[in-house]
Amino acid sequence: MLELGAFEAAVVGVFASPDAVAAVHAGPWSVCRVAPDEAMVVAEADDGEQMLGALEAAVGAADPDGIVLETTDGWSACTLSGDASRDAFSYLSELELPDEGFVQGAVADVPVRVIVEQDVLYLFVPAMWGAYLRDRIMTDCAHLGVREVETVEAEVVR
Amino acid sequence: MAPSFEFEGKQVPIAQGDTIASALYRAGVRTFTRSLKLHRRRGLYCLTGDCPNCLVSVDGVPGTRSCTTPADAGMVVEREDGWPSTDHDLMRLTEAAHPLMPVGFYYKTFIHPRFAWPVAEKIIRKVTGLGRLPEDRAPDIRPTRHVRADVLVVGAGVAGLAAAGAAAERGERVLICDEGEIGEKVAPGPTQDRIRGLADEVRGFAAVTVLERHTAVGMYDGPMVALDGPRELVQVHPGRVVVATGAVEYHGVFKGNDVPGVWQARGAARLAGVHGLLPGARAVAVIAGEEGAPHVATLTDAGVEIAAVVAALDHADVMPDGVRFIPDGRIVRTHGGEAVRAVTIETEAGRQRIACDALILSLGLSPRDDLLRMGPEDPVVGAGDVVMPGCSLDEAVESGHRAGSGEADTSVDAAASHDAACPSMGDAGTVCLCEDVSVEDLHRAWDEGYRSSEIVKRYTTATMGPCQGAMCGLHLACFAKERSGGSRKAGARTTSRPPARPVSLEALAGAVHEVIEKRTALHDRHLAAGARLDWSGSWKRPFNYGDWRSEYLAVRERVSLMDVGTLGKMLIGGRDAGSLVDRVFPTRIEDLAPGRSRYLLALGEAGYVFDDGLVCALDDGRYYLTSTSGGADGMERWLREWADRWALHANIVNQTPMLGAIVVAGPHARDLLASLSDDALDPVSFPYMAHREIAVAGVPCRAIRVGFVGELAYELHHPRSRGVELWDALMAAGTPYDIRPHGLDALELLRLEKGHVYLAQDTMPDDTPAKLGMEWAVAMDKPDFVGKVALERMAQIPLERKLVGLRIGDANAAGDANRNGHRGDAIHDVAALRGMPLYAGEALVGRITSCERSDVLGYGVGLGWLRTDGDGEVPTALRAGDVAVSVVPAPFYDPKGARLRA
Repeated sequence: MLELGAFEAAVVGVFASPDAVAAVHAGPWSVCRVAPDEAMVVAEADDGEQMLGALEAAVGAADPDGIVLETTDGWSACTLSGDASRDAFSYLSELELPDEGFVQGAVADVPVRVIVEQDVLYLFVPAMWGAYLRDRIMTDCAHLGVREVETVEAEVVR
Repeated sequence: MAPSFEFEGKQVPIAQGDTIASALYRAGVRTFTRSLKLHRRRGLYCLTGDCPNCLVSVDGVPGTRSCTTPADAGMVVEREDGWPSTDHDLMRLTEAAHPLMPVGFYYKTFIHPRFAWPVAEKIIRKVTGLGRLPEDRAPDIRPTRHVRADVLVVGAGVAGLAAAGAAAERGERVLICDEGEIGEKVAPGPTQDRIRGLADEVRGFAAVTVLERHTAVGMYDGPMVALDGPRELVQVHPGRVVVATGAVEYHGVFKGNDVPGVWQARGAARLAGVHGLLPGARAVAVIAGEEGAPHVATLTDAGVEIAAVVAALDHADVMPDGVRFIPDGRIVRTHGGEAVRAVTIETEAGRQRIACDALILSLGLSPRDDLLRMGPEDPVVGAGDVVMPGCSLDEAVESGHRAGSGEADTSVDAAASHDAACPSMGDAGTVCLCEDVSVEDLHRAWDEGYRSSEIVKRYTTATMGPCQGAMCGLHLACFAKERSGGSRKAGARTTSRPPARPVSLEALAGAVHEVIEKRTALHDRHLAAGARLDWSGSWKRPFNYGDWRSEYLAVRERVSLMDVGTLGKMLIGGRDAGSLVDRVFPTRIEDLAPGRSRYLLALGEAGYVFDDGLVCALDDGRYYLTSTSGGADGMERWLREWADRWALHANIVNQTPMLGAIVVAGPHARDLLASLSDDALDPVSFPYMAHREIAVAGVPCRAIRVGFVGELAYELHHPRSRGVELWDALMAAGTPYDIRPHGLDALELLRLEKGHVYLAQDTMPDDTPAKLGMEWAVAMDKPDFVGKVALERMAQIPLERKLVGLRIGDANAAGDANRNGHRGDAIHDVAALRGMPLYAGEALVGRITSCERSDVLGYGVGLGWLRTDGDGEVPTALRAGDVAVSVVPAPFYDPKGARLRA
């Protein structure tokens, strides 16, 4: 089984000194370290405001020059789920998926951040490539029987 | 009903385990191809996929190796060359003319007269070639997947399987691939038994993945190995690679070595032992290696009469009983123009002719080491025959174990590969089967001065055919080594490059995706409005919504919207944000107050303009910066690079994906916004070049008053997710003003009337602000900025060219330029003049970069480059073709800017 779903989440970007970014710990959300001076923090859509406030406080204390910004609008998020999800991913990217965790790199030739769970891949692509990525997934994974499903209320991604 | 495939209009039955070649052979086909240049008959030879003799078209795909491709019911198979047919080929006459067309003749002929080459080229292309690409079939684009493995083993023979097993025992993830099914190429016997036993063991490891019918076609950096499989291309990214591709039998070179009936012994044994077919009724075998005798036994068991075996004396005791043995002989030639009728063998006692219809050659082994030589020594190693040609089964297992365990001595293995023994080569015969290169051809090339294997290869094209030197690569190297007196450099193996095996373009195309489209949030709105969307850089943008002139008039006379969500948008924060912006750009920043914005140029260190945009000072000490649509990523990199280099405390956030932007432009722009916003928009509260955070139809926006189109205008930068909502509200509220959106076509004229430059369209990579007439955008009195030193130095040199405003079709232009008496208002297709050269009198002085007819002004407007006279002056009376052009100051429209400051 392979399903492509939309995914609603709140995303906050932390742009600060490496020490300040390192100090961002996972609360009820997922922290993805994308660069020494940048982290992407993901939470359920309803928790965005709370997360933003908490991160502003945490980062502000560590690095007054840091920027904490809600970046949800900058991402088009989707999920690849089902027992064929990892197989499907191999048709899109040369990235090696961990059992669980975070990877980033070229997926379908565009920059994508991936949060990996056992049977679900959460894909975050810059919004201008959202339609393109979905088209590529539907085309490149057609032989695996991929089907589109309704927007899913994602469980908390950690 | 027995399964069958179509072959040139007939049905060919398929037996169990048949390849296309074996089925055709069973059906009586003996001539499979014609040679590339001389159209000599070619029949089955190696049956291991190494030679070019059996290439056919299958379902329209040319160059398919019929000896390794399983026969499937319903296939359509055709031979590829020969006219009018492969069996009866009139092109065969080319061989008679061969003495007149020696190797390299096409480098020397058809040079004069020049018209001869195009004619000759057509004829040569007709005579030569391998198959034809189908013109009536859409490419079968295959999926491409990536696979990770700790160890990739290429080749599932004895050594490869042993390597896979050894690696798996160490707990490594192993991928083993083979171009066929495991063991299928090997005739029944001890080797096949050993392979099947090892294969069963390997399949028992959970960490081993076996990919049969996946051919390794090349090794690339990484390493990455590309596998061409059935309906897929697999890109393997292994930690290390074991190449166990085995060896190919030496190609025998002697007179008549390429006629049907000459076989490599493995091929003949496979035909007999696997497919139950006889390579001939009466055969002569020439043996120089240990594996020859078993092959002779296989043929004997299958019913082939062995007329004689030619071998070294010490082989006598391993010959089957009753076989005539000729010790220490050598093959001189075959007889029979279309098929083997007899062979001549030479011994110390003299020559003897032996009647036969098959010649079986087991002359020794040449490593099949293309992949091994493509890869770096570490982490790529060889195992088995590929590094020890002719090794025993036990040696192969041991070699595989060492390679699979990571214990192979790569330097020794590589040296063994490079120093492989040279095959013997007679003084006649075809060396390169693919390219029809003979022994004579090699000598001729050498005598003409081509004195190394690499150069002889290029001159003769030997090794450059479908088999990529599998047959003749070693012969060529040995030839050059011998002729050079033993020079290792001259006689080196030629460089091995992908593809190692033939691969179709459509298989490779599966990995290529050229159309990667960026869309703004308003994409669907544009489609619904009937927009013509086209590429603008990597974005799909509306060029017009059906009538660009009316869109243009909406901007000039009423109000209009444009989607500029494509603009680059950066947020720069941190205690050094101001310092970074001030030092990177030539724009004055120190007096830019919060709430104000300023145009900026981006210069490289050489002082050349590479981008432009706008910088807005924010209340919190941060800066918001825009760049051109195509420049966002470059601008981000540029800022990060300088922040790092200067160790500044500045954080840069590329907000391009998360923010949309809509331009509201036209005399009624303020009225429209006022109907949707409670914020102060009057010219005093919100003047030109100011920016404010306002809400429009409830959508939070950073509104920037700018004037690229020369009218009252606001850029509304907003959350991308609210874009559609904002667009719809503006369009609805604009109904009283007959609002309509405008695209890039209308923008072209709007910006031209203002004399604004489009980077890349109007500029060149070495343009300075001075050449563009934009010194006003550079604060040379600042202490420093990127490119300042270069600009100071270039200021000492007179400008050689300038970008200037052009009035096109001006009836008042001076001189006789207006030869046809055009009046400005009579030239409607001004845009067609874009790119036209500009003349002053008869002197070529420049060119037009952009132009369009302005209905508002009543004449054509444009920008263009003009060469200066050395003092910085340019001619003013010009012509482009027959159209008069004059140099005028830009902007053409509203030169004092009263409308945009309204």
